[in-house]
Amino acid sequence: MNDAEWLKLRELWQQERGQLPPDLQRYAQRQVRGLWRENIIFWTIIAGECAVALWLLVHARNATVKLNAWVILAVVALMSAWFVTMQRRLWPKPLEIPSEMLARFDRQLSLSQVSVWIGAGVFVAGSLSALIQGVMLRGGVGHLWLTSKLLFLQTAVALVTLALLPRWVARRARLGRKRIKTWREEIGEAS
Amino acid sequence: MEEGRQAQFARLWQEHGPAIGRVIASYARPGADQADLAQDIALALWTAFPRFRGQSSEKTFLLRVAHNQAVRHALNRRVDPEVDAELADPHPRPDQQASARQEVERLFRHVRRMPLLQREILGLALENLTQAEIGEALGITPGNVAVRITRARAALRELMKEDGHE
Repeated sequence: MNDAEWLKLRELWQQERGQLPPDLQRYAQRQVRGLWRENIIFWTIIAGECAVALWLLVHARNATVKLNAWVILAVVALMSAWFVTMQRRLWPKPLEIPSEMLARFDRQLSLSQVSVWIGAGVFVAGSLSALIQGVMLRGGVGHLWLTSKLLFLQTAVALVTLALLPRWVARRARLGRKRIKTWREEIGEAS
Repeated sequence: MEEGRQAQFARLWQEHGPAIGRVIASYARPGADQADLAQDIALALWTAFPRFRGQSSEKTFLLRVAHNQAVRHALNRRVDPEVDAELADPHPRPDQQASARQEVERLFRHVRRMPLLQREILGLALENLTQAEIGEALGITPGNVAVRITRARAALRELMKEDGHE
């Protein structure tokens, strides 16, 4: 393309004015306010859960209850990691260039795998320990029957999680990496 | 403070609206797709603007944010270029035929078929940004910008040739 053609192209380009919907500023402000509201609600719930778990850790005499408090904290940590990831996906960094963004996605994928394994590990280990302490070491199923049933239920959930998690995490990671690779090609980073 | 930000945003939007419109037209198809991208860009600019420290011109800053957001939008809604071409009105009204408007639409359809990075660099070059400004917006050296602009121009020419458009 020679310079004359390029100039003609530029003239043509400048003729496009675009059709911008009205009230975009109000839309942006509303969205930002919505984000704040979501954050406040979510973090208030998380703070409440943390307060309950910490109170149990400090005041409870029963080892089973204490272990369950640790499990609550693990679930809270997982939920927080999920929420922050979702927020980042919904609210990307405006000044981040595409190659930086893809590198960040790659890092986040590895980090989310690690956090899922840590959270699940704490959940499973906590449930099993609670079951052992609450049922086997304290006089069998008849002792504190409600706690025992809850513990069995929790342990069952933990075992199902343990059975399904490796495949699920591996599949998510594979799909995530494939998606990032496609995006790299789409952006044309190699060119 | 909020009112000052509102006024500043309104002024920028007024001044650079057409350039933002061109970014939108080069990444999204006319209609709902363009309206969605316009909303995403408005939101990105609203959140990014407090971080503007005047290291670059307002236009460079705005275009950088708009292109970054448009690339994300394009990645999340991959459109087959062939479908994009088919969706173009195959039977324009007689008064539209061979009109300048059609030429403009055809140009943007070709641009939407280019790889994203080439599209970005071409869009910035066509907005009269200097090589240094483009390099700053894309995080590459001005020398690299020159090479990439040449490639993008050649790629666009190829696409136009394929369409029998000299």
